[in-house]
Amino acid sequence: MSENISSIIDNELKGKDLDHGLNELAKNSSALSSYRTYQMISDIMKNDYYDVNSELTDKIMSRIQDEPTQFNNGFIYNNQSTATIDYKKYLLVFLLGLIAAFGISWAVNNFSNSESTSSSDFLASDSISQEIIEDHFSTTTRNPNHFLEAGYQPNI
Amino acid sequence: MIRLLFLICLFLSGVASSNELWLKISQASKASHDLNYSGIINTTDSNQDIRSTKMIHVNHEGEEFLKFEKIDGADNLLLMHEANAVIYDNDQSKILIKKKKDANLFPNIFPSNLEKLKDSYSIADGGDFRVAGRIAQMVVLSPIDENRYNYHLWLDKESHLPLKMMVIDNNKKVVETMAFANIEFLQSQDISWFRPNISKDKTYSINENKNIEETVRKFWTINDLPSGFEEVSYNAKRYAGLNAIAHQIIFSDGLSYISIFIHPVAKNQKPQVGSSKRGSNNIHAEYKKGYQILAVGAVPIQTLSYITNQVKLN
Repeated sequence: MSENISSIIDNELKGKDLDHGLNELAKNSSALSSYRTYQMISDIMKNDYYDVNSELTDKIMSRIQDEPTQFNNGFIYNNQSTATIDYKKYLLVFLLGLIAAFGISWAVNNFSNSESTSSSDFLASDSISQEIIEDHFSTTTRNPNHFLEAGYQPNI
Repeated sequence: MIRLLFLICLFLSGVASSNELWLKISQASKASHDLNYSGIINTTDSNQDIRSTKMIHVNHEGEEFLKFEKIDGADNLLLMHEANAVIYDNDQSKILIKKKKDANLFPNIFPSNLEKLKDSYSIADGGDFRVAGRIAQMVVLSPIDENRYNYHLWLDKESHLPLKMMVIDNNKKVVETMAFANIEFLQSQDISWFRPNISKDKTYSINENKNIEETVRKFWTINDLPSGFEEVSYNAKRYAGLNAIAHQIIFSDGLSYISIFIHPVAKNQKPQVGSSKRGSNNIHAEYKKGYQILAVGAVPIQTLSYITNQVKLN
């Protein structure tokens, strides 16, 4: 039987001989297991291998199938055995997001100098007037070193 | 009934303990003004940058004389008599003399009205520790809300003088530390040291604070301050870098200080918006109706953000 398996893997059997060989293989479970192992070795040699354990894959796929659908927010429709993704809605949301980002960016650039603003953005401490920082420290600090340095404090 | 009496006794003993600790704070404040002492003070900020200062304080016939000399970096000097301070800012060949007022420098860190602290902080005994070769009692002042930081004080058991202070933020990160590395209590009231070392090789110039004395129309209102904070000072002066007059309003709860700066933003200047940090202090900036509102203080950024939001321009 092992010669038969080897011939199938090496593509030596053709036509009726190949049909016969495959039928024999299907009837013999131990031969089928050997065939899988040989095929795996062959695939590894040719760098085609991507699945180490087909039984594990079957188990994982089975468990996934049993799990309830997590993202049923209009994009994925789970029909027990199949799941389809509505790419049109993804595209629409992506485009709307892009438009919103451009809009916000434009508004920030054009209105920041004319209207009230309030934000938790990062502010570069170097951009704050040194005179102001010095006056704060010289009027409020309890640290004698800061007072003597007239407000100097190292940046973080 | 016995359990109730026990709980009442426990409660009363707790109150007495708290009162005793507040009394220690009062004694510490008095000691920092009345005693004569000298030593080296080390300061560390959240960047772990350690700096040292040599100091001497003498109460001469009821008047306080204080001298601080930098040991690290520039050879700067501070002479302070009562509330009047003069800084000799040593810049190689030049010495810039700056006049200042009302500095509460370590170990004199307490407000004149100690009762005010009780509105914002609870007090607890942190146990005994050894600081600068002396036995000190740690007293913890914890904020009653999240608008300010924790203050840990180490008070000398014998003299009550604060030997160490640590400011810790609400994430238990040390913001700032000030501590005596060594200290000596002086018997003499001698103040012959109270003078600068004049060098003939250097040029001297005076830079006085040119605050605007005339009455300024306050075009802003700041209502609903964070609990415990009140306005303690106001200044206005022209800032050369800004080419504008900036108004500084200082708020304090007795230990924490917040400065609010309000100044107009010129057309060619970009207003600042957002939050940042400078050493132990947070900074928060907002822009309203052509004015820059800037809050600076060693308090949580949320407190600064809240108070800048409370600034209403008329």
